[in-house]
Amino acid sequence: MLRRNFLKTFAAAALSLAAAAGSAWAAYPERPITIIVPWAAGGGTDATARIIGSLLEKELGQPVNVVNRTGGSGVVGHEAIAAAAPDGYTLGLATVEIGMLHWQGLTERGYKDYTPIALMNLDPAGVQVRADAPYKTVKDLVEDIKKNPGKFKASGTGQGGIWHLGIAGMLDSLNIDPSTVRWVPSQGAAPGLQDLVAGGVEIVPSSLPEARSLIDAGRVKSLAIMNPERNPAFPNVPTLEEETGSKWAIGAWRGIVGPKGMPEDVTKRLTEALDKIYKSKEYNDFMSQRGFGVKFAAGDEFLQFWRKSDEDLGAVMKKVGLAK
Amino acid sequence: MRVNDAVIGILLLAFAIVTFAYARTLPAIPGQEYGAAVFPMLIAVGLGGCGVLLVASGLRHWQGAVVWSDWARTHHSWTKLAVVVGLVMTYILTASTIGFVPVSILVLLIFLMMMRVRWWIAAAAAIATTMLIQQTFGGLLRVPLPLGLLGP
Amino acid sequence: MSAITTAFGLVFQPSVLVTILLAAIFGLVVGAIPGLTATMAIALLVPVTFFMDPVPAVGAMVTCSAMAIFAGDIPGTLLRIPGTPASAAYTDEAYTMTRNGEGEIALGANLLFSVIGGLFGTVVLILSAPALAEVALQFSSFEYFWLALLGLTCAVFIGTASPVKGFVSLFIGLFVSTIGLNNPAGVPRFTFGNTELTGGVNFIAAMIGLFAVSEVFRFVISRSVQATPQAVVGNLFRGWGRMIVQYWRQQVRGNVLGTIIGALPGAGADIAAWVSYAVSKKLSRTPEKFGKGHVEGIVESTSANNAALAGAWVPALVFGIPGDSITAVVIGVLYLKNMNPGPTIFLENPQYIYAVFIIFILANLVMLPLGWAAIKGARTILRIPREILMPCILMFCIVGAFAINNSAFGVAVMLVFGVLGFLMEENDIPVAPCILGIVLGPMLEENFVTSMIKSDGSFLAFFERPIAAGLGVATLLVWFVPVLLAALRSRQAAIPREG
Repeated sequence: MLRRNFLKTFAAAALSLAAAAGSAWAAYPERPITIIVPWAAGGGTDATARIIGSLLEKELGQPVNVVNRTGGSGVVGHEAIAAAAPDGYTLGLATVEIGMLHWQGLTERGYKDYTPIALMNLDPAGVQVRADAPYKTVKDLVEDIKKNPGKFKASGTGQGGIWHLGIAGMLDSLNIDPSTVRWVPSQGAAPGLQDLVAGGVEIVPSSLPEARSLIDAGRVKSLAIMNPERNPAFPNVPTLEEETGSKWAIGAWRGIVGPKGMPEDVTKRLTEALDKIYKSKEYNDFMSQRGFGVKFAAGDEFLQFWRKSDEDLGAVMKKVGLAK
Repeated sequence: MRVNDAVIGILLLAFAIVTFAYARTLPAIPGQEYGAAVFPMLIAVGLGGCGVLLVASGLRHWQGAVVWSDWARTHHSWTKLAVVVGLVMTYILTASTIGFVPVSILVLLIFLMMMRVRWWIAAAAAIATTMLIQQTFGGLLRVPLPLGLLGP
Repeated sequence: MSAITTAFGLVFQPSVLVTILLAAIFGLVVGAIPGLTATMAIALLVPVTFFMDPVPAVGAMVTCSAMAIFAGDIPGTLLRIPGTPASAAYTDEAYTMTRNGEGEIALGANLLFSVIGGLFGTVVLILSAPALAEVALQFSSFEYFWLALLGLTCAVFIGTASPVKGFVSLFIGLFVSTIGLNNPAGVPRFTFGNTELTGGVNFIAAMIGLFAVSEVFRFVISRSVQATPQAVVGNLFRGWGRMIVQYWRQQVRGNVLGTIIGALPGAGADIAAWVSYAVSKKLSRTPEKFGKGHVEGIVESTSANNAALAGAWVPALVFGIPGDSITAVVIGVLYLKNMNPGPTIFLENPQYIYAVFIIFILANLVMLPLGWAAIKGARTILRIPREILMPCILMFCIVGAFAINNSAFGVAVMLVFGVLGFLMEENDIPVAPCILGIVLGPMLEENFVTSMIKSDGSFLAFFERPIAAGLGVATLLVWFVPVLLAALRSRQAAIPREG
């Protein structure tokens, strides 16, 4: 068994060596593809990458390896994607943070350094409070924040993370000084939510799927979602605009990208495959079971979305004093 | 190779001072009274304190800056240590371009030969170990071991 | 009752049992390889479970993780390479036993008490999951701060001849933990513009360096190739009866502590093992034997790390809050399989819950024969001449360090810590506290900083909540009582004692 595989490895290596000499793009893909995930194994991004990976494997007929490159709030992984060879064999699942890190001076990389292939997911921010909190609507909460500046603390991600910007931008759009709600950095939504239940903080502006189990357990309630439309999985949670009139919208997105300068036929092949995956039953079942929001945009459309997200985030970060 | 405690203490103290000075340059964070600098500074104080204690105890038992143990008196040992460090560095620097399989075989072969293993046993062990790792890590566990020259 | 019958029906199907068996073997392999953690084993299983029914999917994960945590003990005991971080606490002790020719007893203890610990954790999970989860959920940053501080205290108890040198090692570890971007302020520290360093120093790579690579260095310079520490080939089960009788207290203590620490969402099997080892030494009648190849501490901490595994499921099942990084992955799979965690799962899908419980018990029972086989197999490694074995180990270390983040940076970290560990041990500075510092440093800092934000800078807040106050008082007692006692004693004896 071992010996056969060993021979196979060598044969494959010899073959690919020979193939490299010939035409490179005869039939993409002709060898395994790697998807780099900038976040740890076990998180939502990792799970999304793994389902996309296993479906892409079926679609393209080549093994797709999901590889975690974690650390530094996503800096390390995003850098690895941008620095890879743009041959279509190293892709990545970029996340919203790539539009934030450069404003903080933590990386030079921005949307210009990548080939956007397909946006696969968008999870808008929500406004979660303890289930026994005295607020029925997000309006009540905002009134109380106005009356008691400094009383409220919020958590759910690191300093300057996406949900930090979510609540800061929301307050700013309602003409409240964002610094009236202090941010308690945490390692992610789960510890933040646990702290909410334990009484450490009052607000967790994470996405709804992240809060789902505690909402189901009757420990946490969601007052609003920072998105133009309601989430079909949580039809009872109103949008921020319905409740307060604020048009503020923000969310964490994930999309398949490659390094800058990928050949067009490769991106085309990938876009087709990802479009098919996006429409597949497996993908939609997976996303709805996890409660993840779905949103698709390919190529230029993705780039437009990315650029707008980048600029919006930059504007808020400057206002809140998080940008350099 | 036993370095006198006082020498270690001075090194730690110097390191602590540098750390402390660097930590002072870290920016303050709006909304956090205890910012990024606090912890490294506390650690520097702790390290520095240990340094001072070591200097004190080291001076009491001063037997010269370094007491050489048996192995450290032979050039042989130092060469061997340097070779091992060099082999790992070779792996770090060349594996991504040349590839895991050839570099691994090479590193193992040199190390084994240095340990005076007969060449044919060394070659067999190097190849067998490399293939075992390639199969378990690369195959079963899907660790992307660099293909290097064997790749496209 | 019918739900339990259904559950048995769900589990005892050939396809499910085969899945569990395969997952067990997979877990053994991954756990035994340094650099590959139980969490990685589980993450690798995720794509496979997409295509499985709920019960085999969860069964595979439960079995795989239990096996991986146990298997981490094998290379730790035989070669001083902890396979998973959860084994690091007692790696030195177990390796010393191997060198004394008692590797057999150490591995036997690892196997036996891993099984018992796992079963104990399971029983707690079955009987008191909702109540225990309720307590675990009350832990906020104030409580975790004290917990981290108590954990650091372990470094002193594990400690060596010179407490100062133990502290040096601890502070080095704490310093290393501050490197990178992953701090509450989100400021890059000690990175000097290097992208890889923003990710910080991975403590698994550091651990491989400090323990295994430094051992390779020491081997290289040992002039006469020392006699291979030959485990006495004999009965693995030798001494099981005696150990259970003699160390039943340690074992129960390890089980209880492991389950509780495991159930806390901010702490997992690795911290459980450290704390248990320290407690064991502290409360032992023969603390002087620790570190010289004494099985007592191994019994307690190996019970604890496997008990912690089941404990971690408590908050995961009841509230969907992961008790450790393994359950974080598992929760995702539960959602996929429509087994949404939460109090309702106990009412709506009790057959699934019972099935999970049954699998937990099965997983721990199947560990006995499989673990026995793995130990038998691994033992042949010791028969390989060390001049061949050590170079191969170095290569495994390199690949293990690479696999952590799939980057050569991990190998560089490993090398730096290998050299550091070698120099430290040449000068009697122990390496274990350094690991503890790297693990607990971020926990301590984050919980301190966030607590201060929440309390608007008031230190009193650390004593205002009941659990926090209890932990705080306990920590202060642990710190100051020995100092006071020592002071009293030295006054009585009028003989000044160091430390």
